[in-house]
Amino acid sequence: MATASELHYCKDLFYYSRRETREVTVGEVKMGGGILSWCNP
Amino acid sequence: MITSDTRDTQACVKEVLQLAAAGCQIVRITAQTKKYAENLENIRDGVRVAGCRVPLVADIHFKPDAAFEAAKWVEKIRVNPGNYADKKKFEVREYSDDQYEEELLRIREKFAPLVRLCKDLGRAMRIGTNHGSLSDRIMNRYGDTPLGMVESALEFARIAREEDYHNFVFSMKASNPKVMIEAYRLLVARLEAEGADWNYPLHLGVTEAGDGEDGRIKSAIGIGSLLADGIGDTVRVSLTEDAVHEVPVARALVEAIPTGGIANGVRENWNPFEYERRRTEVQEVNGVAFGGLELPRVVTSRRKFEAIAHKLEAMGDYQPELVDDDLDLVALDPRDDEAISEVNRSGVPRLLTVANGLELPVISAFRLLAAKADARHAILLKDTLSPPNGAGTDFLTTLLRAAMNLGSLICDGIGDAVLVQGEDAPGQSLRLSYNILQAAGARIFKTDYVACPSCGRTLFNLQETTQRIREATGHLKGVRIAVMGCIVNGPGEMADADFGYVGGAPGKINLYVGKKAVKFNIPEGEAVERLQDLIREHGRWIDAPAKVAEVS
Repeated sequence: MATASELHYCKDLFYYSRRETREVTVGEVKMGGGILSWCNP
Repeated sequence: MITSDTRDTQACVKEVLQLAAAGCQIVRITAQTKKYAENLENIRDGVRVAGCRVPLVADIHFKPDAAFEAAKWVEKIRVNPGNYADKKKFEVREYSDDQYEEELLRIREKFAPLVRLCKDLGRAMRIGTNHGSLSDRIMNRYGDTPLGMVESALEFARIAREEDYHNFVFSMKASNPKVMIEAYRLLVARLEAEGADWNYPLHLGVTEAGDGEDGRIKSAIGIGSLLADGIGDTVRVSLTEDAVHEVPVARALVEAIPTGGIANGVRENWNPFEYERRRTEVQEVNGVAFGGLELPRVVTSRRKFEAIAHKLEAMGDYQPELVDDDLDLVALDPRDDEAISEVNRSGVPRLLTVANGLELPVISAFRLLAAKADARHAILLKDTLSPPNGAGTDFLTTLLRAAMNLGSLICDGIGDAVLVQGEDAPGQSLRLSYNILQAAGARIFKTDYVACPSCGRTLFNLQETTQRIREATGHLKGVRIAVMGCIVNGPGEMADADFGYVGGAPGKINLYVGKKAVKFNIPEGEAVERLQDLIREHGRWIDAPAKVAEVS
């Protein structure tokens, strides 16, 4: 496994950018991609 | 997640419809056995007949056959990698590499058929790891750690991918916001390292957050910190309250995400995957030490201090420790390299903060200050850089923003003192300061409760019971008590708790000391008293002091 200094979870800790994810379909609802939801899954 | 018994179709349909009407976009229902899962068909039909299209999710623990049944009826299946194919026995055992591989093959045999079924039926899945229910196999190899949580989920994800199934998301929940934040960060880093097509969405949540202000603060620290870092695609706030109360909190957190920041070439000088407090030097003002390993101090403004000066004694544990005017603060713009270099050249450690009025996201601004200033300088954190001018802000918004900003920075190891500016009421701003420090694990000044949010598995009225336990034990500073509706997350989630109150059977309670059950099948009516006895037996009981005045 990479060491902590080689791992990155966020492009820039000082500037907001959303992690890009693939879209997952739950019935008629899309999750991920550009969507951010308040829900109860 | 609804709390009704899954066999009670009418109650479940009613609760799903209430949640959907409140704005909930996906609803989860427990399916503890195949028999319970069979009734998902009726619940789904009832919801659809009512004209509601909200997708339903079945929550599965221990019972693969319940998952197979549920997949026929609902749009998504949540599996817990810690117990889908494993029974937890808290067994200590060394696994050789070959034995570990054999275990993975065994899991594959049980999990791959469910993956194929979900793929065929077009169902989604959540690989939902809980800190409290890691398998013995994972615990023995990786320990009770964020790394163990991540590996547990990745093992299941690899099986899904081998079946060319990608309609799944991950979650990494824990009741401790620090653990939860580290686990999600590590998961994202590991997914990035695996490759660009490992870009699966993440569902965020803090488990067993509790109720009221404390539950909201814990959720905001965990969920809010990650959202502020651009992580997360869905949110669930778990409160020990009616489920509809969770929705406005989740919505407010999503709406509070700070955007923008400070573009610069600076790299963080802390490890975001493992908590370590920034190594500042100890300073002292008016006999109160801060910095170093001292407790993070609670600061108030001169105006607020004077407003409450006459009733400090009555404020009990919520008294201010320092006043900002007395601190010889250095307020800086973290983008101003020259000013920071000047402070760094000075021979004595100072107390630094970000100046008010700067239009910068709070987390980015303080992170930049911490990255540029020498570690010996202590930092005073603020919840906002734009204190209100008497205009009333909604308290929920103030609370969530303060918890998100201060909690996130504290979990990064930054901050030697806190100043809540967003809340105008002096007493309330102090209470918020202390409660945020406690929820972030930086100070313990009152009893800490880890209470599950209740679901269809719950064996007693969690809200009423939690309240009764609070009334009986709320004066026990530093004691952590877990209140769990059932055994699914019970013993594991209580890893950090001193005592546990767990539903064992209908009307019967088991009491725990740490992770060990010590009293069994106690009638519910006498269980709170027996819990008090247990605390006494272990030398943690003190009698309650006379009640202090409410602060506002």
